[in-house]
Amino acid sequence: MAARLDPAFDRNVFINCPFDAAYAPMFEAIVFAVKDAGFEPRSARERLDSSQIRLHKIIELIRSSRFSIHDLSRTELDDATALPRFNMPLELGIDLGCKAFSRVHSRKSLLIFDAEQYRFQKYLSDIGGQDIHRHGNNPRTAVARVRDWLRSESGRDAIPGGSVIFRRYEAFRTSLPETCSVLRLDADDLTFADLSAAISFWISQQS
Amino acid sequence: MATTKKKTTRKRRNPVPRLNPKNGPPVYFPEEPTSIPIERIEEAVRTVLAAHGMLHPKALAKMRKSQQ
Repeated sequence: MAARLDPAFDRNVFINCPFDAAYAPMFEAIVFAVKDAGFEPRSARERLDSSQIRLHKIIELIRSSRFSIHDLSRTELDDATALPRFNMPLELGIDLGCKAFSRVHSRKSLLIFDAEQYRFQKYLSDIGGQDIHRHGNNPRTAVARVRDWLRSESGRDAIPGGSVIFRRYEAFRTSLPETCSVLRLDADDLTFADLSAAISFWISQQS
Repeated sequence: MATTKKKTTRKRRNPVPRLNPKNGPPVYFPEEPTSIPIERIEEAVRTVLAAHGMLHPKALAKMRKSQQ
């Protein structure tokens, strides 16, 4: 039986990135850029049903997203264990497999980030030949790359420019502590769905 | 008598029309449930945007009307 596409397939953008606190500004900026470009970010940070196996959830997100952002910039040795964390390269591999083996998913488009341009050749040389983008751990650069990629891969004309999106992100970020204060919450208490809803509403209501 | 299946319509939030740009991209809302009622998030965002004069005029008028 042929695989069926999720109805939201063309607007979903799966974000495979680190979850550490130092990465939070980058994550928020990417989520905002995806929203402001008119797409819907999906992340393993979404609520996980306790009965659901994490990998199954990730596979479902990959299956239901035409676009994926894979950030390999934290592929490095852990201070405590001296071992690398391979979750992000694993999820990239699942996505590449999905695109290669499923005909209906062959339209998938992937944006692969690393902190430095050619670092991946030392730990993931099999993906040589693909465009790996460097963001230098700079949210402004990441926003511009995400915007340009979504613009060219989706063919949508109405996506604002990278600098416009980043300015709007900065305005949103400035207002977020005050918004959380009204909600009597700390910004760190916001779940992915809370943040996503706040961004959507902020974009739709501001002049 | 044959029973007919009652049609149900699912209320969908997305896409919602965007207020400001004429030809801007759509804005989608997450399908995942939020941890706090979405109306509270909307109210908080609206309050802060209004306090900084950044609320869209149409949204501002709607907010004032609801406060009356």
